[in-house]
Amino acid sequence: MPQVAKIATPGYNALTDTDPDHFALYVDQKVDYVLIKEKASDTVNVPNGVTNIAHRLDYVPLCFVWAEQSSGVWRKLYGYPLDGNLYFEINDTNLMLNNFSGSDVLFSYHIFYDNIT
Amino acid sequence: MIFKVAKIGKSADSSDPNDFIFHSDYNTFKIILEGTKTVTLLASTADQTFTEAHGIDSYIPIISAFAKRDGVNQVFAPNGVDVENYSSRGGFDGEIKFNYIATNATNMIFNFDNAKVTAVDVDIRYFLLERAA
Repeated sequence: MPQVAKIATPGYNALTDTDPDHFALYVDQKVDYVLIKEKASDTVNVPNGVTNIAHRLDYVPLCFVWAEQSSGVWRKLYGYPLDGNLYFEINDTNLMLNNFSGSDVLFSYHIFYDNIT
Repeated sequence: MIFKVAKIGKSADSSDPNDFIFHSDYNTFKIILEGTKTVTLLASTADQTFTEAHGIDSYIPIISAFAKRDGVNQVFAPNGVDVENYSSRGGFDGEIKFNYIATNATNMIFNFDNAKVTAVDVDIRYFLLERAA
């Protein structure tokens, strides 16, 4: 018999509900419903150019990055942009914060233990 | 006390965080609010901004979101275009462009271009994440 561990979110019955989206933790030993695990996060000032953040993992980890596009407005970043001058890359050594706006920009990043390669 | 749940086939004694579904030594990133918003993009208009109040007054939350155009199955992320047809030119025709998402102290902000000559409805699914920027 599989070992089961489930923690339902408010309003749902952990004994009868079978939708993993209704659980904070859902373990049924049939599918790995992995919760992503944070390693590091910070907000850093990035001058024009590339700033490397060493993540000290020997693989390419999942990460999310935002930048303060104007005062108090935070925009989610992706790879090389369709337009604009802010983006990020990541390899097995560094998270590379790219700022080619010509001036300093605040970046906020979250790096996770979860291997994406 | 440590509470940990290993992946199927992995040992609970592993030291590799990737072997675990959950491990109490590590923060799991939490979605604090999710929802949907439907917007109508004006025809042949670039740089269309839509806002929605997020209702969080103690910090600026960070956001992730995806969009789906009415009548098209594919979902597209910000910094990308929709994909309607694979064209004879050897590329995708993406006339709806999801330029960016952002947040400030009050609102979620969604920005699109619409190169079509007709108005287009777009469904947005957004996720506000736990941590202030």
